[in-house]
Amino acid sequence: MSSVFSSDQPRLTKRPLFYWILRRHHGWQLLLLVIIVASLFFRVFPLEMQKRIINEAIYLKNIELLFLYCGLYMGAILLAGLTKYAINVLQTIIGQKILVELRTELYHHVLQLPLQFYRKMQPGTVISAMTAELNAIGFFLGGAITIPLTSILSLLVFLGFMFHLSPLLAMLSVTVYPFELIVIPLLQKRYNHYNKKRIATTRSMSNVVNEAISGLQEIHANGSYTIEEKRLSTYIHILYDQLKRLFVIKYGIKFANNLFQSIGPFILFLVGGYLAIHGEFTLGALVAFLSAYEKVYDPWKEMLEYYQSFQDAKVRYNQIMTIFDQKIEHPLLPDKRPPHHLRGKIELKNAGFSVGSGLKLLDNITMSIQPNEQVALVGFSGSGKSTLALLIAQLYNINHGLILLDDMDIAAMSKSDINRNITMIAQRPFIFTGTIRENLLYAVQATGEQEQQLPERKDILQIIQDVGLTEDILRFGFNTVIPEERVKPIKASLLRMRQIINSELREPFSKVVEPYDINAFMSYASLKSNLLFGESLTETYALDNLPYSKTFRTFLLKNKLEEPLLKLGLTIAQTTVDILRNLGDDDFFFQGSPMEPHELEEFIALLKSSKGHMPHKKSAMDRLLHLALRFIPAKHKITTMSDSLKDQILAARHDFLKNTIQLDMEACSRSTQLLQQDGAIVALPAYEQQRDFIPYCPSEYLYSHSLRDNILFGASKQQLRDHQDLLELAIKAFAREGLIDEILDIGLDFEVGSQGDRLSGGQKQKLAIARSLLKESTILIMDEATASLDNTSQAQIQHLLEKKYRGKKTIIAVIHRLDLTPGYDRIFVLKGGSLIEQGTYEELMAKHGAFYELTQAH
Amino acid sequence: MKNSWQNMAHFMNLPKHTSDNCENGKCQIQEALALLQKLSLFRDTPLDILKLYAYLSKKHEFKKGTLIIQQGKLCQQMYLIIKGQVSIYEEYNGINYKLQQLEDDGLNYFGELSLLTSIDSFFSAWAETDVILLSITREAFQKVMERYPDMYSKAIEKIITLRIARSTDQTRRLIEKTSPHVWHDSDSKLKK
Repeated sequence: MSSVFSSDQPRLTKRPLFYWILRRHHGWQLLLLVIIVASLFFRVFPLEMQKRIINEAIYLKNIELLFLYCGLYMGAILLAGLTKYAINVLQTIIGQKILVELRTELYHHVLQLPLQFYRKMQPGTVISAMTAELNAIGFFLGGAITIPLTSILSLLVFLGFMFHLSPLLAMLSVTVYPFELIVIPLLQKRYNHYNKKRIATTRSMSNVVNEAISGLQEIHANGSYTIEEKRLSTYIHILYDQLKRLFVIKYGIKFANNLFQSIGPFILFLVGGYLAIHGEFTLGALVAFLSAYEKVYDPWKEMLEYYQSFQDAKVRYNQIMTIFDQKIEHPLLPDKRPPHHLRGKIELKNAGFSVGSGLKLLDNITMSIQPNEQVALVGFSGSGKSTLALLIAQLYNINHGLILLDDMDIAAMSKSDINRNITMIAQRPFIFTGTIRENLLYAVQATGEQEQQLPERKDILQIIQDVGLTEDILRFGFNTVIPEERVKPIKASLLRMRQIINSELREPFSKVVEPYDINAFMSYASLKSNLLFGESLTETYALDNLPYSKTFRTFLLKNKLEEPLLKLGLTIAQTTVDILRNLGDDDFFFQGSPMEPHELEEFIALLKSSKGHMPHKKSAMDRLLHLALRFIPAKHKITTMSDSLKDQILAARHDFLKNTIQLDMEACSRSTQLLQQDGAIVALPAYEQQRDFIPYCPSEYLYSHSLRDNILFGASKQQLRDHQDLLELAIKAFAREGLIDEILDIGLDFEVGSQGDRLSGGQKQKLAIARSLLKESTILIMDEATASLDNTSQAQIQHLLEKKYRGKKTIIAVIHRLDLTPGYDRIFVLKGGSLIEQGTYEELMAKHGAFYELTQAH
Repeated sequence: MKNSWQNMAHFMNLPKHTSDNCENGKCQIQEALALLQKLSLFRDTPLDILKLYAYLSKKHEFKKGTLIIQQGKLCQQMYLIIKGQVSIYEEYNGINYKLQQLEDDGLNYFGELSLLTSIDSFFSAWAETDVILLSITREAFQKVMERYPDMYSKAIEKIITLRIARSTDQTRRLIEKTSPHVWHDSDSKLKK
């Protein structure tokens, strides 16, 4: 890594395009060159054969010679094709290798650019530069050296061959080239001009789209669709205009090329024909000459194309490099020393910060904070308190004065000096795609992998508890479908939780769950679950496959269930269509039917074509069966099932489990009883053979279900989340046996979604706080870090800082809510970029100054 | 495949008969529909809408002496008495006054105002006997009315007219009892 980023190279954004091409991969490029030279021979050789076939074999009527020359001709062509293939592949490989380096180094640079840079930069520009625009360059990179080399070499070889045949004809046929050399670059210049404009327009367009998508909430809220459409449509039209011109020129170039290409043969036939008629030129030579002329045009064309793509790539490359052309302010690592370990003393001497226009955001700030002191920065909005926090975190750089950390100048410190000692929590922290655990460990992992050990589970859970995320993580844990390998080591604990719910807490939980019982029809489970009383890990018994499964249909027939189930399906379809015919656009109405709103149209058509009777078509009957299998008697009011059908289904279940699955029903039944009586859960004997099928027996973990479903172990009557009291009851019981940590551990693996969009604002904030606290840095800077939390959570975090971290961290908190300030050692009051008061809460209140006024205003 | 075709043949020509699966006891929807049809509140409501109400309604059972609606708590549904007796009380200054006794024979209902607006109940309802009720939630009522906006004003009118009738009824009952000794009729069991 260090060799790639060593400092003796020119600044990345100042490097010319060819720097990347010439720097590395010399071996590959040499190999390519060798193949190219070889390929040249195989391309000229057939021309010589052409001449000989006509002049010697045909003229002398020598069959043997004809075969020989034709064979050689074909062989050479084949080899020429193969070498060309190898050249293409090699070119692409080299190009992509260079692109990988270019992209990696550019991203490294882009990430380190100072925050100020991104204030002015639109994300769309950066994204499009890093992705699509670089791709287009990569295409050029591979052939950057070899294409011109090949072209020039082959041009020379073919020209040489032509001079060898006839210097006069050769001279004549190249006369057109100089014209081309004038016309085409002229056109190309115009092309480059519009191409540059096109890139700029595309960027602006992606910025507009990017902004619209980011601000979609605002757009929907204001109904400002037309405004946004107008904004984009301006660019769409500009782009249309530019592309139009671009292509007009592009095809103009093509036309010029073609024209010049066809002038050549015209001269050749005219002059060459004249010479041949007069016997001054052999027919074979003429044919070979014509071929050579055609061939000579290929490298010529390639060179022109190369010229175009080189221009194109150069324009793109320079555009990309210009936007990122900014110096990185602080090196990643310190020079010739390990990173500092700070004690946490912070001093500002006449520090000032102003932005481009000279506007002073902070002016002449002098303050001193002792190690482990906890201070609050307060002030009106716009007073500069957040800016001050950013300056101390080295995220911004002061323009005047000094900031000293442990008496050392912050300006001379490397990024890693800062990262190891300072943690900053932003007001709106960023959560990365990944799990909660990954986000928690993000900061720790970033600071030197060797130095800090990754925190243990109990430390992580402690922090979670500290910031008040435990309940949320528990909920995530309950909702997780745990992968099989993760279940195995903790299966006993999970089954124990199941047992607690089903024995000790059976009575209260009967409100939300109907426990699985192999000998009972379950009103809150679908008919499919009632029939199979279990599920397969593979797709064998998946609902969508059942109607088409031959074994399943045979099983239904054997148990005389096919007819009643089809009839049930028909009744459901008829009644649903009858009542909900016009309501297919609202889920609300479909709560009492197994039919999904999107299926309504299909079933209307199905019933129409069968005139309301049982349909004849197999596919239609399959659909009805599918519908019936989804029917949940207690939830789907659309129809009522007879008790006799319920009994029949129960009997069929027993038949299926006994004969198809070969389940030890007695064991399952006994196990179910023991579960309720808080006895030991008995594993099913001899069950190992049918690993694919998991029956709803107490000893079995249901891998396709969430942890909550597994613990409740039954059909859901009502949502557990609507019954907070039950949840608390369960958690209390689990905690008593130390089972909670297992659930939390699973909850930590909850995927937070893109930018944490599956978390609430408060959860994100707490996660960010936990993440920062896990990284045990000496200085903690909080920029209104608890502002988006509710009062209770805010107080909890405040209490945590005051108690647990007192004497352990220097804490600087930018605070808006003044009722939190009494807990701090000292308070700094800012106004209009200046520090106007400082002291303890009591001092400032007694002083009746600016701080006192602020508190009164609240 | 062929087997299932032959098997199908003997019943596919059966006439359409929606209550096929309801041999044991009636279908819930039809049962509910029959009740709703008898209700004066829904006298002029088209069958289509009534069917929807029947489909969206829920059955509840309350044991004798339990509270169905508590005064001051949010009430989100109207109830129709299928079986049993319900009494309506209003608490005032810590004393509960019995406003009405609703029997099942007259197809009684209560809580109809909660169909119109989300309000805290201004009365309590108790099960005098074991009671079976049918409920229609405000959400269901509003969702249905969204579909039949032209029916909405009529429905409101009807609810209010019936409400006035009920108020008159209740007032009469109170007036009849307006003599000092009647007041301790208020049930002490209601005090919490």
